[in-house]
Amino acid sequence: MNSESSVEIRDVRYAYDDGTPVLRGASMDVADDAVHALMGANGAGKTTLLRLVAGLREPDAGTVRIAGDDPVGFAPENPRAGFFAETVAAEVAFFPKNRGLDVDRHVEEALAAMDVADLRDRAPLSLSGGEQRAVSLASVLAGDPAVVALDEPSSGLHAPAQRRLGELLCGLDRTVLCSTHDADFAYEFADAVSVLVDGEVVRTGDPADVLSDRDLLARAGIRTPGLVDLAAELSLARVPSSLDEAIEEVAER
Amino acid sequence: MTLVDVESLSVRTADGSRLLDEVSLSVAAGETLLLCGAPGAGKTLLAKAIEGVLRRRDDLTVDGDVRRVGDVALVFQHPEVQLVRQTVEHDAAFGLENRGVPVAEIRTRIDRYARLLGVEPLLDRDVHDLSRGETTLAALLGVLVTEPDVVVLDEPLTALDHRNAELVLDAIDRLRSHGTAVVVAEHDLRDLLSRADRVVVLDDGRVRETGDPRHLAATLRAVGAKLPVATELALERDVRGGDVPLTTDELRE
Amino acid sequence: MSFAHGALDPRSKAAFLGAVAFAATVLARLDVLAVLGVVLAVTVAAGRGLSVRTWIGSLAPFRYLIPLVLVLNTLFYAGGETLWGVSVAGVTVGVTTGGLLTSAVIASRLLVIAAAAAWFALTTEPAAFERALELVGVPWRVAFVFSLTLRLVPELRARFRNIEDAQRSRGLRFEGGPLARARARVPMFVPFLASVVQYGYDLADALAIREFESTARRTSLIELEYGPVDYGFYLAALAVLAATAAVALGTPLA
Repeated sequence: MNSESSVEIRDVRYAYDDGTPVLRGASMDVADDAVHALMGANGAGKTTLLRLVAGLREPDAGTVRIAGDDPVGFAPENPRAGFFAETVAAEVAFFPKNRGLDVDRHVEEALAAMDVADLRDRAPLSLSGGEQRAVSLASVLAGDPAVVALDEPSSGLHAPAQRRLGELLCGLDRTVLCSTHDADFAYEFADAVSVLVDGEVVRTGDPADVLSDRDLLARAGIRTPGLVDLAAELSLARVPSSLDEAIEEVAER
Repeated sequence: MTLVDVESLSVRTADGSRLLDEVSLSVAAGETLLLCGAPGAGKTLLAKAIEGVLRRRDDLTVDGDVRRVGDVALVFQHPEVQLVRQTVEHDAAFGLENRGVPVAEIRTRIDRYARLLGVEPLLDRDVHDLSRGETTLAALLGVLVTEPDVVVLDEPLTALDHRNAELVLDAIDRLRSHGTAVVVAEHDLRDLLSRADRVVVLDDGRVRETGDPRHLAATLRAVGAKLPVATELALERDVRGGDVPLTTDELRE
Repeated sequence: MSFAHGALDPRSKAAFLGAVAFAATVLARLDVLAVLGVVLAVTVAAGRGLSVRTWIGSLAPFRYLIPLVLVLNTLFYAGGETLWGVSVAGVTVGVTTGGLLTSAVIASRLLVIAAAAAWFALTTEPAAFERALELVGVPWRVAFVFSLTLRLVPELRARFRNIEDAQRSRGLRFEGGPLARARARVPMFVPFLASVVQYGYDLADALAIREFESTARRTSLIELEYGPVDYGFYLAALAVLAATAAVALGTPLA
C-alpha cells in the first residue's frame, strides 16, 4: 500500500441486491489528510463507494484498503437517519462510547469544532436543516476516526454555512472523502477530485485541472464551476482559484 | 391579474415560536416569482401556505389570509412521496380521476402536457426506476394535467446533479412560455435568478424585501442565497441596482 | 396459443388462484399437490411476461421455512411404522412413516399456495389490482390503500437500511447473544419511527394535494376488460373446483 494513501481502492465491483451493477471496476487513491471530492451523476456510484470505504458493504470484487485499523466515520446524506438520542450531546457521545474513548472530552471537542456547543441540550430532530447537518458531522468527528466519508455534506446549506464547512474540512487533521454535486464547493475546498462515470473512476487529479475539462464534465453530468465559466467568458489567461482572484483579474483589464 | 394574495400570514408552532411572521405577497398571472432565503427561513412553509395544504396541520396556528383566484398546485421538495401509482401515466391520471374528469379528457390532457414537458418516453416507466430529476418531472406532469394557474415548486434543485437540474430548469422554461405563473422556493439561485420576474427575500420567517432580482441581489447575498458567480463578482465591485448582471454573458457586456 | 400474464384481468387470475389454494387446502394428498404444482408450472411457462426461473426464484425465502416445517411436523405427527423413536416424559417422539408423509403434505401445500400467490403478485400491476378490487365491490378508498401498501414496503426497507448504515458506521455492533443484539437495535427504532411518522405526514399532504378527499364521482383511466384467455382461466378455476369435489367425495375419478 502506498505509504501516502489513506485509502486505496482497486478494481472494485459492486451490484445492488437486485443485480443492477453500480460499480464496475473503480480504482482510486485518497492521500493522507487530503480533502478528496468524489463527483459524478446520480447513480454513478458515489454513495456506494463511500459505503464501501466506510466498511458498510463488501465489494463483490476488488479491494478497499484503509491505512490503520480505525473505523472510518460515515455521515449519511440525510443527517436525520442517525438521530436517535434525546439531546445533541447524547447523540454525539454515541460513537466515542462505542469505541471506548474518553466520551466527555471527545464530545466537547466535536461540538466546538462544528460550532454547535450551544445546542448540546436540544433535541436533534427539532433543529434546522443546517444545524442537523452540523450535529451529524460532529457525531462522526467525536469518534476520532482517521478517515471520514461524507455523503453530500454541503447539500442544503446556504452559502455562508457551506463556506464554513469547507474551511472546517480543510482544517481537519484527517482524511476526508466526500461526495458532492457542487462543483464550486469542490473547486474551492478540495485538494483532489475524482470523477465517477457509470461506475468507474475516469479521472483523479487537481480540482483546477479536472474541473476545467469541459468535455469530461459534460460526459460526467457535472456542472462547470462558476469561476471556470467566468474565465472562459471573459477570456481570462488562467482560471482564478477564488472569487477575490477573479476580481483582481477583472480589475486589471 | 393577481392570482394569489397573501396578507399578513403568520404561522406559529404550539410552543409559540413564529415560523412565518406577517408575510404579505402576491402572485400575478404569468409571472415567475422566486421565494428566496436561507434554509429554515420559512420557504417551504410559505410554499405550502400558498398552495393551501397548510391549513390541515393541527400542530400549527395560522393567522392571516391567503386568497386564491384559480388553482394553485405544489410540487414537493421530495417529489417521490407525491407519486402514488406505479407508472408515470397512471400516476398523472390520479388527480383527474379523483375529480371525476371523463376518461377521454384525461387521456387528452396527459398527451398534451407530456408533450409540453417532453416526457412522453417516461409515461410507461415505473416511478421507482426514475432518476431524481425525472421524478420531479413526473410529479410536475401530475400537477399540470389539473391545469393550475399557478405552479409552486419547493426547492426543486435540491440534491439534483447537473443533468437532472437541467431537466427541471427546462421544464420551468416550458411552463413560463406556456403562460403559467411559477413560484419557486430555492436558496440556490445560480440558474434561477435570471429567470425570475420578481424576488421575495425571506429572512427568519419575515419578508425582508420584494422586488426586481437585480436590485435585490445584495440583499440575497446577505441572507445567504447562492448567487451566479457573475452577480457575486459585480456585487464585490459595488455594482448595484439595474446594472447588476445575472449571468456571465451580461457581465461581459 | 400464447397469452401475456400481465394482460390478464386480475379477477380471473384471482379466481384461478383461489381455486388452486382451495384445492390445496382441502385435499391432503401428495399426488394431488404434485399435480397442482405441475398445473401452475405449465401455466407460468405457457404465458409471456414471467419466466419460470423468476417465479421459482421469488419463493427463495421459503428455503429457510420448509426444512423447519418438515422437521417439526415429522417429529410431532405420528402414524404408521416407527423408523426411529425416543421416549420423552412418557411420550414417544420420533420419525414415523406417517409423520414423514404428513409433514411432506404440509410443506407441499405451503409451497403450492405460495407459488400460486407469487404468480398473481408478480404479474399484476397494483393499479390493475386496485381497479379489480373496486369492480368486485370493494370501496375505492380501501382498494387504493391496498395498492399503496405495496409501495410502502420497499420504501420503508430502504429507509431502515439508511438508518442501519448510519448507526453501524458509528460503531453499533450486532454481535453477542440475542439480548445484546436486541438492545443493539434500540438506537435504530427512534429514527425509524420518526421517519415512518414523517412519511405518514408527507403522504397525507400529498394525497390531500391530489384531491384524494374529493367527493366527486370517480372515473378511472385503467379499464379492465375480459379477453378470451380470461374466460379460459375462469373455466380452469371451475375445473379445479370440480376435480377437488370429485376427489374429496371419493368418486371413481379419484
